[in-house]
Parts: sequence; C-alpha cells; structure tokens
Amino acid sequence: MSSVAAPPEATVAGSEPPARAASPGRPVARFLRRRLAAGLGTLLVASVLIFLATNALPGDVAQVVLGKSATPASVSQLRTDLGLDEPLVERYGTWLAGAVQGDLGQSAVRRAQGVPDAPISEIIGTPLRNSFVLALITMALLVPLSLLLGTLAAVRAGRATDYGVSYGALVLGALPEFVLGTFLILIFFSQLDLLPPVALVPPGASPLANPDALVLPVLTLLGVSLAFCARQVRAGVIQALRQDYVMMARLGGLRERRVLWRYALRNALGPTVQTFALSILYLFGGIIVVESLFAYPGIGQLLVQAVSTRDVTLVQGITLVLAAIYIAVNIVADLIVVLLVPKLRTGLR
Amino acid sequence: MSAVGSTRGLLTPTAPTPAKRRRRFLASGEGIAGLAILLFVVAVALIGPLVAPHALDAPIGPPGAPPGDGAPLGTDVLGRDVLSRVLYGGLSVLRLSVATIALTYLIGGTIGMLAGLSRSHLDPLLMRTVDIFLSLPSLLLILLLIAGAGQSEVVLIVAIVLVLFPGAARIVRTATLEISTAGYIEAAVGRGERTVAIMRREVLPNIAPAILADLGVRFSSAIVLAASVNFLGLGASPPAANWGLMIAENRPIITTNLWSVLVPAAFLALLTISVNMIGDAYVRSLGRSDRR
Amino acid sequence: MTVGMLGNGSSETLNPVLTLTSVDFMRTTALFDLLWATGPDVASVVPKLAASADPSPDAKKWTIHLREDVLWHDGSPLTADDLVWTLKAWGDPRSTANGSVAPVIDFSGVRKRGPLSVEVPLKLSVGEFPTLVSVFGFGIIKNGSTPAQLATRPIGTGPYKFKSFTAGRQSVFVANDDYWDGRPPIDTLIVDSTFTDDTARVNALLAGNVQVAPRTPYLLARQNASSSQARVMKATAPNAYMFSLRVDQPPFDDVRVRKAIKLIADRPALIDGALAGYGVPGNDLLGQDAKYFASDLSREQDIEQARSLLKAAGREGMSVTLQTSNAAAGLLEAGTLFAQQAKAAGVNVKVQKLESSVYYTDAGGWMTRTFGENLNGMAYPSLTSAYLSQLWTDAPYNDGHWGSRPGQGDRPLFDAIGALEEARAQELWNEVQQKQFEEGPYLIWGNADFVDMVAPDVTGLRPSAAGPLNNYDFSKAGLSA
Repeated sequence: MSSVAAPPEATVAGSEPPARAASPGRPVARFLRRRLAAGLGTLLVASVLIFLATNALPGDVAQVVLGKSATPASVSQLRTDLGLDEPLVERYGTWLAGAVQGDLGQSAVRRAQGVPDAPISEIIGTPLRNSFVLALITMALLVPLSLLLGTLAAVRAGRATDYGVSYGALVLGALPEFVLGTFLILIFFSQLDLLPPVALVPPGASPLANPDALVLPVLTLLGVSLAFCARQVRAGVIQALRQDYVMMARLGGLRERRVLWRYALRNALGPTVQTFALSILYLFGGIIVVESLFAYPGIGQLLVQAVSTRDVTLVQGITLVLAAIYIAVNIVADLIVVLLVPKLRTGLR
Repeated sequence: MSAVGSTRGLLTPTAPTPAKRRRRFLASGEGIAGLAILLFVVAVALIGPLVAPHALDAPIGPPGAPPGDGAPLGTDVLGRDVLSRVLYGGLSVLRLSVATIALTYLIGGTIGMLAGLSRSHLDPLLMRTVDIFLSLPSLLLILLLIAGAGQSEVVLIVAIVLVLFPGAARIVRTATLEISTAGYIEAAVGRGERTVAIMRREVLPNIAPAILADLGVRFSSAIVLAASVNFLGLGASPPAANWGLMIAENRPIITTNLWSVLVPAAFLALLTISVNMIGDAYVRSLGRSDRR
Repeated sequence: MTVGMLGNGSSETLNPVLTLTSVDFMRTTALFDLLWATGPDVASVVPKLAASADPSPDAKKWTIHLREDVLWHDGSPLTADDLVWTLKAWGDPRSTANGSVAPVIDFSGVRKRGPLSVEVPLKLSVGEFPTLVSVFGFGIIKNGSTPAQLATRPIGTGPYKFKSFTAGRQSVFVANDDYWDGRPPIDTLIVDSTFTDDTARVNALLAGNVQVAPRTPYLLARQNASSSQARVMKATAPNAYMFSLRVDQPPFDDVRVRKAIKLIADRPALIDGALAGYGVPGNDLLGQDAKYFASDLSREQDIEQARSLLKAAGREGMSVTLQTSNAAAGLLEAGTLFAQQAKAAGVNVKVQKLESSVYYTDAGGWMTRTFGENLNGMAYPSLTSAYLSQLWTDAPYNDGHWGSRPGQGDRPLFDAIGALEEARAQELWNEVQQKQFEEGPYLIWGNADFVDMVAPDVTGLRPSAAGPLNNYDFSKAGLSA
C-alpha cells in the first residue's frame, strides 16, 4: 500500500483551458497560433502589472542613485533628466514601442550615472546565459533521475523502495533551497573540503570552464525539484498502470516490463512533460536564491539587485524575458504532449 | 513550487463511503504517523511559548555558543537561547501557513469554481488572469510586494497567496469542470439557484477531495517561500522568532553551533512532511488499493 | 589578487564623483587619488596629490599646491586645471562630495593661481580645511572628464589603471608603472562584486577564490579567527555605531528623554552581541581619536537615573518605534539588543526593519525619522569634518536635526571650526563637545573595529583606524611567493 499524489493536469499556464469540443482544420498550426496569441496577451498584461508595481515602489532610481547625500533639488533635477516626471502612460507607451521592436530600453540606473548607452539587452545577456546553463544541467539530470526514481517507486508501490524514494523526496522537498545549499556547503566544503563553496564566473568566461564549482548549486536545485518531479512521475505511472488497457495487456499475457514500457510509461508521459515544464519555471524562481548563496552571476541575482536599486527598466526587461521563456516552454510542452499521446490530438482546437 | 494537479480518479461516483475512507486512512501507517508528527509539531508551537526556559529576546551567553549549561541547544547569533527561540518560533509559522493556505483556497477556489461553472467568456477571462500571475517569477512578486508595502506578516501572507492562488484556481476549475455536468448541478441550475449557493452547497462538498489532495504540495510551497524571504533579508522585524528566520540569521554560526540551524530546519521539515503524509494517506483512502 | 566585495548590480560605478557604496569606494580608490588621505592614526591627514596648502590669516581662503611628479594614466601631467575641473564637479549637487562641502566652498570663486596652484575661497573660516576633502567622494579627476567617460573608461592618477569593468560582476585593473608613490607589487587587481551574501564571500576566501574580503561581518571573522586558510586583520577605529534621536520632535525634543535613552544602553553588551566583541564603547561623541576630541567624557548604563529622568519628563513606560535595516552588519542586531535592554527602564522599543536599499532615501524616512540607527563606516579625520557633516542645521547628514547656523545663535561651533590657533581651538571644541555630550541627538554606543579577512599569503595591506584596509589602500598590496 502506498500513497497516490495527484498527477499534474495536462495544461499549465499560457495554455488554453481543456477543450470542450474538437474543431476541424489543421490542428497543430491552429493550436500554435492560438497559443502564441494567448501568450502574447499574457505577456502584455504581465508587463503592465510589473510596470505599475515597480513604479509604485517607495523610492525611485533618482533617490537611490543619489543616496544619503541627496537633496530635494538634486533629486528633482535627476528625475527630470531621466524623464521620470512624464506621465506613467506615456513612459509605458515608449517602453512598449521599443520592446515590440526588440529594444528593451536603457538601464535607468546607468543612465542616472551619466552612462550614455546602457542597453538592457547587453546587461542581461550574459547573466541569462549563465542561468540557462545552470537550469539546463539541472534539467538534464532531473528528467532521467525523476523518471527512473518515480517509475521505480510506482512499480514497487508499497514496498521499501517506494517508501525510500517517496520519503527521501519529501524530506528534500521540505527544505528551502538556501537551507539545503547551506547544509551541502557545510558537508562538502567546510567538513570534507571536496567541492568549492562558490561558483564565480569571470566576465567573458564560460560557466562550464570550472565544472567543479557547479556541482553544489546544481545539487541544491536538483534536490528540491527532484522531490516534486519524482513524486509526480510516480503518481502518473500508478495512474497509468490502473488503466483498463494495461490490465487487458497484462491479462493478455504480456510481460510486465513490456507492459510498463509500451503502455504505462507512454501514457504517463503527458502529465510528466507538463511536470517538467513546470519545474523549469520553478528553477527560474529557485535560482534567485541559489545564485545568491553560491555567488553565481545569473539573472536571478541581477533581478533582486535591480529591484533594490529601483532600476525599473531593468526589472521590466528581465521579467519580460523570463515570462516569455515560461510561456514558450509551456507551449512547447503542450505541443510535445499532444504529439506524443495520439489520443489527445483530438483535443486540439 | 506550485503544482498543478489533476483530479482524475478522485471524483468518480464509485468513491468509497466516508466511513470506509476513515477506516482506510486510520489503517495506514502513513496517515497515523503523519497525524502524530503534525500533532507533535503543533503542540510544540502552541505550548512552546509557555514552557520556554528563557525569554525570546534576552541574550544568555556569547553568540554562537555550542550546547552547554542552561542552553541545551546552545546560543544563537545574538547569544539568545536557541531552545527557547525554537519553542517560541512555531506559532508564527503555523499562523502564516494556515492563513496563507486558507486564503489561497478561498480566492483560488472561488475563481476556479466560477470559471468551471461558467458557460460564458468568464472562464477564459478568469483563467487568462490567473496565467499572468503564473508567468511571473514567484519570488519577484513577493519581493515587489514587500518592497512596496513594507515587511509585515500581513504583507507576506498576501504575497505568498498571490503566488499560490493561480495553481489552486486551476485545480479547482478542473475539478469543477469534471462534476459540472453531473445531475445535481444541472438540477440546481434548473431550479434557478444563485451561483454562490450552487458553489457552496453543490460544488464545494463534491470537489473537496481534489482540494485536499492538492493541499500538501501547496502547503510545502507556502513554508518554503516564507522561509526564503528571510534569506533575502526581507523577513520579520526583530525580535520575532520563527523557524525560517532562525535558519537564515544563524547561518553565519553554523560551524560553531550547528543546532541553531539544524533544529529549526528539522521542525520546518517535520511540519511539511507530516502534512504531505496526511495528504497522501487521504488520497489513497479514496481510491482503489495500489497493491497489485 | 582578487578582492571579494558585496555588489550592487547595475548601480556600481567607477566615477569617483558619484560613489555610493563600499565597492565603489574600493574601486575608485585604486584608480584615483585624493588630495590628502585620512592618516592611519586619524589625528592627521597625509598628503597624496597635494604637496601643501596655505590658509589665509582668517582661514577663509586656502591655496592648494599640487605635487609635481604626477602623471595621469594617459601619460599627461597633473595640473592646476585638473583640480579646478574637479572642484567644479564637486559643485554639482548630484556629486557625493557636494553635500558636505556645498555650505563651505565658494565654488564660483575657485581660481587657478599657478601651473600647480589653485585658490579655494570658503564661505566660512575653516582651520582644518584639508580634512574636509580627505574622505571618500573627493577623488581628483582629469580636466574635461565627463560622467560618461568616468563610468566607462576612467583615467585617474591612482596606483592601478582601468582595464575592464562589468557592473555587478567584476573589474580588472592593472598596475600603474608610473605611479608617483611607486609601482604596486602586483600586476593585476581584480575586484569581484558578484557577491550578495557575506557568508558566500567568506567561503570564497576560505576556498581560495578571492584573497581579500574587506569589512568581514564580525561574527564570521570571529568564527574564522583561528583558521589556517585566512588571516583576520583588525584595527581599533572610530567607526561609530549610533542611534539617532530627532531633537525637534516628541518624545526626544525633551533633553531628559534623550539623556535617559543614552543611559539605558549597556554598551559593552551591545559590542559583544552586535559586533562579536570587535569594538570599544563610544561616548556619544563623533570624531573619536581626531584632534581636539574630548576623550575624557564617558557614559555608562544607569537604569535608575534613566527611569527618574523619564518620570520627570512624564514619559514613564513610553513606546517608541526604532527604524532600522540590515544596511550594515550589526545595525539590526544592535537595535534588537537595545530594545531588550530598554525594557529594564520600562521603555517599549518596537523595532521596525526597513528595506536596506531605501533606508537612506527620502522614501525610507531618512532625515525625517524620529528614531533610527546609523553606522559611519569610516573615520572622520577631524571634528570639523564630523560636525560639518552631521551636527549643524544644514549639515547633509544631520538626521538628528541638531545645531545652529553660522552667524546665528550660539557661536562656539563655527568659532571652533574657524580657529587656527591650537589652544584656542581646543578650548572652543571642548565647549562644543560638552554640550553635544549632554544634549546631542546621538547615542554612540560603540566604535567598531575595522575587520578584514585576507588569505595567509597576502602582504602589503594594513588595517588602520582611518578605514577598512587603511581606506582600501591597495597601492602596496602583494602576494608572498
């Protein structure tokens, strides 16, 4: 006997609600068009929200840049120079017009310091790549590991293996990243002196140049995500194993391994792909903490600093990029699911 | 981490009777163990402040001292008694997680049910709104809200709810959609009952299992998010004690007094694990046995 | 050699006129020079780009003479025009320097008086003018430098030349072969500011990723004091930790209440708890160790007297909110401990933690808060510098709203600032400090040591009372083989 966690729903954010009726036409192209349109709409509203929220924060870039020695006169002069006096709607419009053409604007802080040209796209390029590397390595380990552990737990449901996997996952998942990371540093650096405790990457260098340094950050991210994904895979496989056609296959005398591969896993794949898509989003959230803990120069750390220095345009730029990645990942995930699981294809509209 | 779960298999008409469910739940070691752990953690949180040997904010020795006389778990980063702070530190964790989860399902549940019952454009409209919140990095939302409205428990609760409600809304919508064609709902609609009444009397009792099954993951997320805020330096004002804050503030002394980090971490972990165990056992009590 | 600093993302700058945080100070000190630097003993200034300076008899006009042998990084010689240009930059209200010298220097009257001499007229008599410009924010820039050029391709006279810089990540500087004070022993100075967490910074030092971690949080330094991977360097310093009480608002408009608050503090306990023991008790006066400092005044905890003062003021059992932040190590901890100590006197102190990035902005309540906490983070090289910065009506950092205008009300402060004759100055400063001690807006509970951690093989860095690593003086830094 064991537990059954709910398998993830076949649709996540950025996707259409489950279809109520199939529709004619070339389904995949139509699906993509609809998704992209919806995704762009989501992006637009999200950007308005972030713009309003960052502008509503107490203290603006002029105050933060001038700091302790600011005088009312110097603050208002800088505000005027930066165009912070213009109406919100106008500023958003300017920003949006640029963003549509791929220009995310200029860093407000750098401009306030008199730097004539400080394009956001240049500032976020390398950190984004670094975070990507971290996320990709984590995913490359996460997918096979959680499939393996989840399936293992599912076919051994109720036995020691299952309990080992399920509770191991629960314990890892119960700790925030900074706690897990702190313990990993304590064990692997302070006590054993096996692995470096920070993952500094000099500008211009590749984060892969020093793979040792990535071990602890990846393990930290992996620990927390694995907990979630392995449990979801396990639940998905158990669900699939209960389906009638699996029962039929078994009764028909097919070998258990074949049943597992041919029927159960394939059908458990749909929800599983969605789980992984969700964990990518989660990775980008968790990365904020992990990057700070290991001094890794990624997008999460940049985002936190941009909020604290009130670099409104930078916050806006990073958020837009992250939201776009998230929406794109979901569209791809949904596409993979409908292509892999033929019976869902009728669900396209 | 906000899981978007499905409700398949939980709302089948062949679901076992409540009595059978209870029997199954109690018969499972998992459910009993989960309940026992939860009771222990809650007891520590509730009774702790009454039995703490020292004040929450008074230094009793040098900072970061290992366990010794009068301080069985040593002292913290300011020389305060770790044991006492652990005993004081549970109440706000409980308060915050219960408040967050309740609000998450109140808001997410209402949106989800409205969307699920709607036959109009309300459904896509609501779900698109929910998507917008899902597409923003979770810690960013929390960061912005705390930076904007200050560092207080209420702000933190609202921020975490903002992160968690979209997932809850999706679960509830899916569950509602599954039962929306059931006879009793159609009948209620036919009788001309108001939507709120239908939601409360017909929908809610029937989708409750789906919500309960989803609760564990979301509970973990609430705890993890609240603790992470402390790491970013945006946690509660002193002299507050809560387990997440304790871990964050005692990190610098981990090499001299491991207990100051380990014990609050263990309590946080026990709390989330027990809630998940209970959730798992509950879900299992609904379905057929896993045993083949 | 790599130096690990806490970073500030895109807001980091190499422009010495706009420095904001420690990492900016550290970098600009490597690239640029001051006219004078605060001396290691704090009681004097040591000349850098200035060779000498002569005051007029009334100390209202100073003529600064520059060194002859100084070359800019582009090979051109330092001239009086550079100093005139720099003074113009300080006159810009946006500059870091402006706040503290705007009320003093008559910028419109600055004149070149020779190839290496500049005349600086002042709005008031200042006997120790060099001390006013021997702190951060007063780096000398080249004639014609623009903010854009300073931020992207800075040309200084400092011990290191600019090579590359990515804000929030890393800067690479190389040794200046022609440095007037001798070429630095190391070829390359890297400053890594990817860090947002001090524990990570110290871990990086222990792991050998960085060789210097300036301004290590006290507790982390204490933990690693006996490590073989690192050396803790410390200097007893006038690094003042203080509570600020706004004297023009209740409850602190009553001098008895201010005095009671000062009597509540258990200073040694605050130093042990918030600074891990790295510091000495303060006596509520700014400018510790500077010339004319009144070191004979001291104050200790006296709960009984505090209670009776509060009773006399009708403020028994009062509640006050203390605004603080973790803008610097020890602030939040000190606030927490003080709140606990205040209970003994029946005072209920509610600690309110604010986001550190806005703590020193208008929006965060800077200059308007009733009860707050500050850290100076550097030494004032003179009482003149301290009082002009913090303790008169229009002082830029006068968060206690204390003081008087020049020419109005009580004269002693501005007479003391203007005095050139030592015995007279001492007498006047004693008077000023006595009043400040009795009635002033600050509870200065501790003067924290400057604590820095370095790798065992680092040479040529020295701790000093003037500032962290002698105010980030890396000109003699080296690595032993």
